[in-house]
Amino acid sequence: MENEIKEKIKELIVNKEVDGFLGLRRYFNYVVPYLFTKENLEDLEEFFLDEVKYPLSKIILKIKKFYPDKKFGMLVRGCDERHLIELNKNNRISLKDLYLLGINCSENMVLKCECSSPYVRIANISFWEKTRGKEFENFYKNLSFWIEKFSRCIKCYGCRNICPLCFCNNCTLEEEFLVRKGLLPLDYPIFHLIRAYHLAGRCIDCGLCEETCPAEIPLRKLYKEINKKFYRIFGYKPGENIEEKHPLEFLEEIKEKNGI
Amino acid sequence: MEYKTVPSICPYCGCGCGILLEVVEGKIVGTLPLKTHPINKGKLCIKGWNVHEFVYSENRLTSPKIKKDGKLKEVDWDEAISYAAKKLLEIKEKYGPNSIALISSARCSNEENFLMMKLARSVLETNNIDHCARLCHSSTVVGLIKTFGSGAMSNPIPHLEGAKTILIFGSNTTEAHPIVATYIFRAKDKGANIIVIDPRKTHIARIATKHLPIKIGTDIVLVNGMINEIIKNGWEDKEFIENFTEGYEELKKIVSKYDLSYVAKVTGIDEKEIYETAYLYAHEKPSSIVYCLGITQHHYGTDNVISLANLSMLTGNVGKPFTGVNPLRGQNNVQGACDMGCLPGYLSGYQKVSDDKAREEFEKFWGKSLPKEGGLTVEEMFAEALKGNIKAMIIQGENPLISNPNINRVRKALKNLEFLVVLDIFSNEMTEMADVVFACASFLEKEGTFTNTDRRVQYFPKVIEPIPNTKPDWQVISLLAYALGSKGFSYNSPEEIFNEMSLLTPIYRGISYERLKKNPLQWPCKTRLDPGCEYLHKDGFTQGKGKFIPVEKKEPFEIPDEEFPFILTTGRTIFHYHTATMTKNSPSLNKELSSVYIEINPEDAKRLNVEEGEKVKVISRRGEIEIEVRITDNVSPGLVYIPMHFSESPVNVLTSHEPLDPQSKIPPYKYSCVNIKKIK
Repeated sequence: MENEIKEKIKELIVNKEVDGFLGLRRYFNYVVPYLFTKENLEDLEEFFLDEVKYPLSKIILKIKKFYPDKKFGMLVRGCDERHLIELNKNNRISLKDLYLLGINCSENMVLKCECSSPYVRIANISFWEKTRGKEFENFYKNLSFWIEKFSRCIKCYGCRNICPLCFCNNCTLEEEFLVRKGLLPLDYPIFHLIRAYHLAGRCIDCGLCEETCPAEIPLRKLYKEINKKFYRIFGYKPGENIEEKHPLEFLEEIKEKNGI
Repeated sequence: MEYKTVPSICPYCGCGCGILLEVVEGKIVGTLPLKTHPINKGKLCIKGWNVHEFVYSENRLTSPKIKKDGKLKEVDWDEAISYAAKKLLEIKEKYGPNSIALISSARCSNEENFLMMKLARSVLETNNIDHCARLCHSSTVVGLIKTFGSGAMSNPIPHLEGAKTILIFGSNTTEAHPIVATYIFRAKDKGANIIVIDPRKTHIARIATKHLPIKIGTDIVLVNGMINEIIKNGWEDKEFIENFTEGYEELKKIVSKYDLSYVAKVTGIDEKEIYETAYLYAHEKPSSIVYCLGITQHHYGTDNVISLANLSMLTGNVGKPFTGVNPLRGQNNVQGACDMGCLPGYLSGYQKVSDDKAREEFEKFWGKSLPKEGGLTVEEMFAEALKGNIKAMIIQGENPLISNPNINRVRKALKNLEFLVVLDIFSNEMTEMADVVFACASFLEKEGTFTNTDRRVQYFPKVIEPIPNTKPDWQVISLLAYALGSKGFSYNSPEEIFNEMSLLTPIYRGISYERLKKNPLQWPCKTRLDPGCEYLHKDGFTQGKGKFIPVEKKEPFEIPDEEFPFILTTGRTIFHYHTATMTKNSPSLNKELSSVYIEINPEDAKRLNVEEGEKVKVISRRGEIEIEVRITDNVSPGLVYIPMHFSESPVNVLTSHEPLDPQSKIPPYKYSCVNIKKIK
């Protein structure tokens, strides 16, 4: 299957359907993000798929900044695709400009990621069978549980740095009147609640934040709880529908459309 | 069009985390955590996330310099090298080889440290080579070699996750070794007892299941008390003591006078807490000890370390998975710099200079006879410079004008030199004092290997070309050695240096670049088939039997009085790294914290009539600084704390360079008496 994917990438580049393809490659014993282009086609030999997730949709935004006029293809899993759907709505990237090569996730990955939709839906082409997603138990815990977890935070900003949907130019987490600088323990829970609030109706539940958190704070579960509530109130689930928009962030647009 | 990510190793603390540098057309534009790295597994602290920021700073040195008429002037490399060589030869000729001293850098690669060692011993013909391990964990190296036979962290970082009880002595793990703390959090989530012994209510102390706010410097009393309690109640591991150790009876005798009421009185910790801690450590096994500079940086640091080794052997909590005595090493390559023999008494791999057989191996290979007598340690170098016996120094990637105790004295010592050579990537306090400055390339601009705190040797590739007109340290040292008349430094690559080193160093002999590019390897790794050593002392101790060495309570070198009523202790913050040479050139880190502060208890602040953010004068017998106040219950009344890092308020103006620990020569950073005065 890997060979088929390699062939497809090669074809896309050689036929100039894309100028570059963002995928993964082997580097020493690691698997890391890499942009394949016609200049480095021979590196496709090192193309490698592993059960490792990098924030590819955040990386493509960065690449786009350097090369705004180029057309790119990229490897996407279900979660990458959901990132891109939200980024598209927020005018950060245009799905039209991207060629999405989808891979569905293995059962093993579904368990590892506790993923409810481990497959692609809008990709231009997809590989592997769809596996079924899994819904996980409610996680709600009490206040002392969350306070203990927040108090561990070492203020690395990793949750924000890794998140493809944290794309604001000025980050509220760095507003000194809300969160004082240079302190550990930091001001909690305000730091964590600011981020949780910002991700309400935005988080697509990829789990990158939780994976990168050195303090082992179950961030994803927090955002998940909030998004469940958000869905109950507003009937909106981020990353699902290309057309439907965030009811609070696009309030004016929605009001107009629905004659409210 | 180019976008690639290149794996490397974080250049800050000893965790040795994997990072990925994002490169767009030969320029580094970002850092990502390396997801599948065995230590950090996709996690980083704020410093790691911002590694890329210092590289292109306008404060980078971009040319070698020579001091002419009191001013540093940019010159070309040939001139700088030949001038430095000429002066060094003159001094060597006039005053003898032992008038020269070298300090290598724990931030440089193993290859570069090996070359500094080779330059000192085979070219300049002196054993006066040391580095900053002297100032942080020399007492670990001495203490653990005496008791176990090997002076390194016994178990790998990930083993902490499997411990049921973790004693953390004098380590603010979350701030100083953030990714080590991750494994402690995981252990806690699995129900482990996390017991922090620290006079400060540090970040990790707040998260611990138990915090023992010990009176500063009384660790030996506490540990002897725990040992006594364990023996008294028959909780010791008799089989382990019998099979793997010696000296138990002697220990038993000495600790018997450390009864609970005495220990509680001296340490300020409740009897019940001491009893419980001893019980948990001896019963809820596997138990692990983690410690850092709160243990080592005292003038009895070695005895502190030995007492922890005693405790671990007594309960059989060493030589097994998830146990051990685990010193957390400071710099990314401080373990490596020790391993490479940048220590006055040791060649690479802890082979004693005084051991004729070991020395002859090197002599044969290098075709030079090497000096036999042990050289000077860092603080002794400055002492001898003050006396006029050390005339020239070569200092690589280190800033003693921030990091060494009693900075005023260091400055005097440096001024007293006839000639000072500094290798660095930034201009800082040291380059200003130098007669010759070599502008070096950073770790991103060269390849090499680093050895992290758990003895893990890791390869890092060159990510970008050196900043124009800079050179990697290994080339600078080689050029200097050549100009000094040596033929033995014609290396084409760091790999050639590594191969020479591994041949001469039994604990690295099985390691090669080829193997490291597949996987990091933990030493000792003695043959090409040796998978490396996950944890030490597995089948008995490195030296045969583990040695119990009884140690006794020690007295402080000065006590609070009317003139200097507060006790000052020092440390790191998470947002900066040591002398901040790199981190203060990183905008994201500076945005978070750009000046240091003194932590004062609310009671003391009230008494002194000082407010949050107010500048005060802090005075010790060594000197005085001005610094902002931070009022916090992190410290108890009578205790104050200042992090190092910034030249604006350098805490080491206040700390003392004496007395040195007689065994390891470590200075007593963690304890000094000061006064605090309101500035009118």
